[in-house]
Amino acid sequence: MRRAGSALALLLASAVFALAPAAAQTLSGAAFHDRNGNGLRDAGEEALTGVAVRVAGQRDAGGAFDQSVSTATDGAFAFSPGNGCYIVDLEDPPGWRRSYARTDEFAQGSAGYAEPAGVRRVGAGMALLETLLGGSLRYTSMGDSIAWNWNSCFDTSTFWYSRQVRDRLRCVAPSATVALDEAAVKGEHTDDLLVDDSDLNSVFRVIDAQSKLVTISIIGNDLLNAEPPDNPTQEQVNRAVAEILDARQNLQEILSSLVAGIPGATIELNTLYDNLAYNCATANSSAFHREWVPLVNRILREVAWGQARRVTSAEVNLEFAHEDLLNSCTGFQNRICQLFGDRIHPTAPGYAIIREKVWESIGGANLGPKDGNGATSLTGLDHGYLQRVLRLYPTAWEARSGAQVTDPAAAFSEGDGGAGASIRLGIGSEEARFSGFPSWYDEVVPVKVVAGLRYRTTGTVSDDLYRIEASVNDQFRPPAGHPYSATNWIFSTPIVGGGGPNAPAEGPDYPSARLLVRPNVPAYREASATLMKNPVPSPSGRGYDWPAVTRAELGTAAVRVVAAPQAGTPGDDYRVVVDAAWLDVYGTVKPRPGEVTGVTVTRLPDGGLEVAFDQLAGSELYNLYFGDAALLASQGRYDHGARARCAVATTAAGPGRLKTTVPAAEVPAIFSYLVVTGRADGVESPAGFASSGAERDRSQNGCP
Amino acid sequence: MRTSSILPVCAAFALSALIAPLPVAAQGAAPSLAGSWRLAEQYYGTGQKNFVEDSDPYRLELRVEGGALVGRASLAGRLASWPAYFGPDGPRPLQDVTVTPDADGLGARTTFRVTPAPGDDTWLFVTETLRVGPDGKLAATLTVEFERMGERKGAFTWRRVFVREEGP
Repeated sequence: MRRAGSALALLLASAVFALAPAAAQTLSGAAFHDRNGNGLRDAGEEALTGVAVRVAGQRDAGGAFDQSVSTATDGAFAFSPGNGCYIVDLEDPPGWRRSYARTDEFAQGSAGYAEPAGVRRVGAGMALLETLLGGSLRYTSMGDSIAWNWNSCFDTSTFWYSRQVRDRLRCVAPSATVALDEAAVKGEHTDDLLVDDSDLNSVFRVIDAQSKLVTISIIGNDLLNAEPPDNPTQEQVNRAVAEILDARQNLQEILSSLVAGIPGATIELNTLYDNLAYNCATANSSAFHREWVPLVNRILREVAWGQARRVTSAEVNLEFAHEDLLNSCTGFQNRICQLFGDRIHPTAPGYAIIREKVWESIGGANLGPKDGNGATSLTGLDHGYLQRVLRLYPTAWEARSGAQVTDPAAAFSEGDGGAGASIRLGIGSEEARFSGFPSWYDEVVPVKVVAGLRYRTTGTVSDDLYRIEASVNDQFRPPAGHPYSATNWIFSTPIVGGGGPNAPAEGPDYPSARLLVRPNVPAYREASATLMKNPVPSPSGRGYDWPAVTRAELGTAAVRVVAAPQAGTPGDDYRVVVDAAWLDVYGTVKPRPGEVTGVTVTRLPDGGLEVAFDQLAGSELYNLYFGDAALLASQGRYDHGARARCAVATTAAGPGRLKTTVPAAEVPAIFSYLVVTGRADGVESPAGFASSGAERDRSQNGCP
Repeated sequence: MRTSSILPVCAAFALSALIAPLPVAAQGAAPSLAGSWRLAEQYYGTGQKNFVEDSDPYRLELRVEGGALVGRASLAGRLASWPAYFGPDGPRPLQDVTVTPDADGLGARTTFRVTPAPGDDTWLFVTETLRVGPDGKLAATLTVEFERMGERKGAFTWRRVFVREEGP
């Protein structure tokens, strides 16, 4: 189904409400415009009407439940299926993408935190329910010892939480076949999932298996092995951050490969609990660890969110972290095995928390005895959405270090029938860079930006690879000797290509592996990633905030395809063909003022000009632009960007009229056209419209 | 809150002082693997966090008997012949045990396999190395490889440092 929205569906829901009281055995929530993308419904965030919602599963009382509604005018939805096991799914409306699950922490000092579910941090928008109800689901649990459910306390069985999730899925669809691959391997790192071996804990083999549900716990070992001691040297910090960046790159390749390689699969990535904070009361984990675990978790969320098909995040981190906030850590200690040789892994109650978070992240919602907390009603299952307000294409390209680029402008558009910019790389640092993304859409307020492209390869890539990555400032790597810190470590966003056998350069993790990437892509594949930039210290003094990419940074952003040789030997002869590159801007749009009207121009005796025009409602300032009228007449091209008079002084010129003067010395000597614009709430009015109705070239409006 | 670790350490030190009135170094004894050792540092992989806490210390007592290196291990009041592996219910029975002392008597390598708990379907293949360093400390590694249903399923390594509690 996925799309309900029919009048029939609404009638069915109404009938259910009439039969059952809404307060009991109810699954309810709302869809809303998550303007800041934090997953929470903040004040002023409006409802989203008409979002398709489906709940399906089995009632404890017997019989299947499968109903669909559209969210009401207040964004709300509610179902009263009775106790049982269910999946709640909301379909992303066209042009919208679900924000990640709520990421608010459990308020310090709050009472009544109820394990194992804690705060319900639900996910939706995946194809899992359809696949499950289709009768067959192959589920692969990938990752490390957490997915394996290892601990030295031996109070839980192997793959316990994955088996529990499997059993809950079987409960939702008893007639379906749900098979679990217990693929995770203890001790493994992000690199291991990218090694092309026979192990099922590998994206290559999972793609071969076409598993339609993949849950992943990984990165804990990357972090544990990399962490510096207390009072680290800058060299130790640099080494640790290099490992984190390597893990981030690997994760991007893992997820983007799975998303592209298994159409319709539901992919889930766990956030990382604080795997060393078992004694948080005495703050015995290093300052580096405590500072960087939240940063790493932000990476996990953003890498998941920015995929071409969104990957859902299980908010393990926040549920474990609540104990830190309570300051006593008494509960938290019991969630980490303290026996000899461990002090890292969750206990059975800890794994129960992870089970709940994974279950929620894929839309699972049980009522009654089958719920982790025995809840008979789940309210507040809210789902925030971000709106894609722009897709921006590059307008410029550059070949560097000897890269050969054919038909580069083909990467500027998706509407060219699949024609692509063809890039031949070598074994050096050859690259092709695409930039010039428009930044003049001043009505747009970015919240998140996803850098993406559609590409394929020709020839064969064997041991000298390529990467594709984006940057907000055209600087993709730090200068030599750069001292990494929590606020200065992100220079680029990986889109394609894992860290590789020779990464990080300071200490390769997997020097004997042949490849850590899926290099050969014969058919066009889409890949994308949340464009990231450095965090800043939070004004609260606790942790960091992540400022949004600004509109100006859209103009300085670049996407590049660059050689990443591993072997450094001649032989590989391949091309990366880019159909199109883009930046998807998610955010809000402010209203644009209308165009300035009633413009009159009077030549003054001294040769200057008096320009009068109708006052624009709400305008803060006015700009004047002169353009070459001859050029416009002969080529139809506007060129007034270079002759701008920004924020001119104005005086009253009668009721509702303003005027300004242009000194004779500043009047262009050429035959000119004149444009007057106003700016309201930071948004400039149009420079006017052609007779065809098309807006005149906005890129020319260069005033700030 | 965690319980204080001060008392058990002080008690252990007092007992040690009664048995061995002079520090080992003052006696001028040659370096040897034999003796009583307490685990002081334990690191995961190449990580820098020391996972050892002073409560419930892990101890090794090693000696040479009939030309063979033997000993015992203790953890939380439980004793086992060395080599040993402690599960949640105490020491576990080992299989395929090998002990290979270094020729100079300053180190050894042991291997064995063990199930970590009754009924567990995982075999742990453990390799332990011990080596007395010039600083008089015992540097060790414990590598655990996992096998389940006939397939190797990962591994990890602890890096360890033991300090001597009494002389050989």
